[in-house]
Amino acid sequence: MDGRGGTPAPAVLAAVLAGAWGAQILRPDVALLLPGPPWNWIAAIAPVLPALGLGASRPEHALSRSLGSGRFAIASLIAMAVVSWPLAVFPVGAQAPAWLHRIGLGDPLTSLPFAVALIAVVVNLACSLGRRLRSGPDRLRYAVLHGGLLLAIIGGAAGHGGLVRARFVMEEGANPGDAAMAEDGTRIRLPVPLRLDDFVLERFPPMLLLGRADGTVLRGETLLGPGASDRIGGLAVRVLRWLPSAAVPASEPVPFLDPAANPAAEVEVVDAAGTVLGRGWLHPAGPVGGALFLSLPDGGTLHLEAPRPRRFLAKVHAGGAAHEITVNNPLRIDGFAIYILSYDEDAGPASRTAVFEAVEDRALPAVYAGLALLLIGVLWHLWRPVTAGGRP
Amino acid sequence: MSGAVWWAELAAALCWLLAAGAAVQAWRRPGWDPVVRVLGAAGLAIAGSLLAWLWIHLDRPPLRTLGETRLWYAILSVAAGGLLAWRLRTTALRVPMLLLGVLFLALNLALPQTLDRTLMPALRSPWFVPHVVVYLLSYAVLGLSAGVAAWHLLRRRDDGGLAFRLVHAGLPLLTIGLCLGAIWAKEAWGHYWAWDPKETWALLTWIVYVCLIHAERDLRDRPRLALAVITGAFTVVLMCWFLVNYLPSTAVSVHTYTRQ
Repeated sequence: MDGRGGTPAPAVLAAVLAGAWGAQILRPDVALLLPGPPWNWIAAIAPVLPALGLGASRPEHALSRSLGSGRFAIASLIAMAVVSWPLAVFPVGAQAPAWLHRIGLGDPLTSLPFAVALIAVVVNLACSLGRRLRSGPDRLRYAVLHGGLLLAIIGGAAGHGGLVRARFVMEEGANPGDAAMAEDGTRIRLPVPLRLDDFVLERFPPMLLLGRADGTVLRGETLLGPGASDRIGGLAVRVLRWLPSAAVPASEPVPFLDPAANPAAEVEVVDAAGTVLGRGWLHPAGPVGGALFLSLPDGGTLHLEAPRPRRFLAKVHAGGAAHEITVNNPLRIDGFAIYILSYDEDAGPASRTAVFEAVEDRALPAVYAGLALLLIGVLWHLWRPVTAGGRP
Repeated sequence: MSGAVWWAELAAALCWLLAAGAAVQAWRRPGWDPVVRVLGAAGLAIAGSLLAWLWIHLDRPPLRTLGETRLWYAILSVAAGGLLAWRLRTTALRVPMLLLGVLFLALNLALPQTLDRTLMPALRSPWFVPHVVVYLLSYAVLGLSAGVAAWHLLRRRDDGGLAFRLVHAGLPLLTIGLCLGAIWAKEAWGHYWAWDPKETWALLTWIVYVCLIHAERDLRDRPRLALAVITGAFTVVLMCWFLVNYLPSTAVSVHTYTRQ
């Protein structure tokens, strides 16, 4: 970033930021939200065009040099860091500590200081880009790198204004639905009716847990199954009998073929000297049976951990076709992406409902185009770095 | 099995510790150069084999727990340091890169972790490995920049040139990791940027290093300040990587995979 500002843009930014911060403290209820389309684009581009025009038409003007300078870049980025730090350290919004609300940063993203910092970053990028488009070395690399970042920020800001996010719950076999509830409580109509045909939860086999007399807990390293063995806390544990799906009607598990049932294992525990310390059934607590554990002579206890989820998927019918939605594989349909978020965790594999979120983000192509340019720019920089010593 | 991991990490750490000692000797006696290379490569081979074995044994990329990421970090510090030393034609990186590798393996030796073959559904993505590996690579290079800067500060050598060259290599990698993470988040959760505490720390880290590069010309005139700033900047990386887990904000974070 070249240029040392003639006018003190960083000082002006500091003053404006302080003023905005003061106003936010005096009026803590003020919350800035971007409007919906098309005003979101107009609001996002509004600070860009004048700065870009100024930089391109008057690159040597004192204001242009100052707003597009490296020092203003540093000042605007520091401003962004200062107003966004609460998000890094504390829960914000309704869960934010009271003192954070008192200093105007209870909800930083909708605050006046955040808007000032974001506008400063965008103005600096646009002005420096405009200046460099007209003159200076490394123009193409500079334009790709900084233009990409600017485009991603504009797209992100505009997308925030026009974003549609709506959650809905579907139950297996229920009539197809096309309504969802947005974050602000309004009803959203989905592009096609959706029906949940089947919800599938795949789980890992369970592992051992050793609770020691001092309260610490050790986890085994083996995914258990028939004939498996593991070493935990200096003890050798061997599976004698295995029930992949069990219920616990009394003190001993019985086979129980139900999706909600957990496995059960009869184990033998041997210490380092070869002494058998205990033998008994282990079963994690679940919808069809309580926990069975083994008490050890030293006061410790041996447990079977509840199986952890490996993968969950929803088989849905949408627009006359069958689809599968998994965590990293949403369903894309008519500009919407449908994500699976969760399921009935108490029921586990027997869950017949799943929680989804529909997202429509028309600004996404701009964000991705910006990120692509940014990636090209940084790869270019990685290959042929321009250090201060090599700059004009 | 975790016992075998511990011994392999100890062997790699000892190789690199001896290589660092040989590198110090090599300042005065160039005859020690081959010893540095052989010991450094031996440590890299042991640690690399351990990583490959973990990948096969766990049946998942060994990038989930803090211990696994520390092992990657140690390997990448030495491997990237060696590559950069060759590219920049310098031997000044040898001691910092080897000691960084030893430090992170020593952390694993002090805090041994059990092997866990499970992997939660959110991490089953083709973006998982590139995102985390590029991030760890950037952390390794930025760690080297801090190591070199601290080393020069201690030895009262007012030269920030090499440390800045490393920042110029680390920042692009940091940016790539950030972009890959955003694309993955969009695929998994529907938003590319949610101001999650981990994401915000990632942004703060990026801001610190972008500011550093933009201030480079001014800082070159004040080399001791430059070295101090480059050394201190790495604390933000450590905040983003480890220490964020101890902040109140972690209660609302979705980036909680490394907790055991």
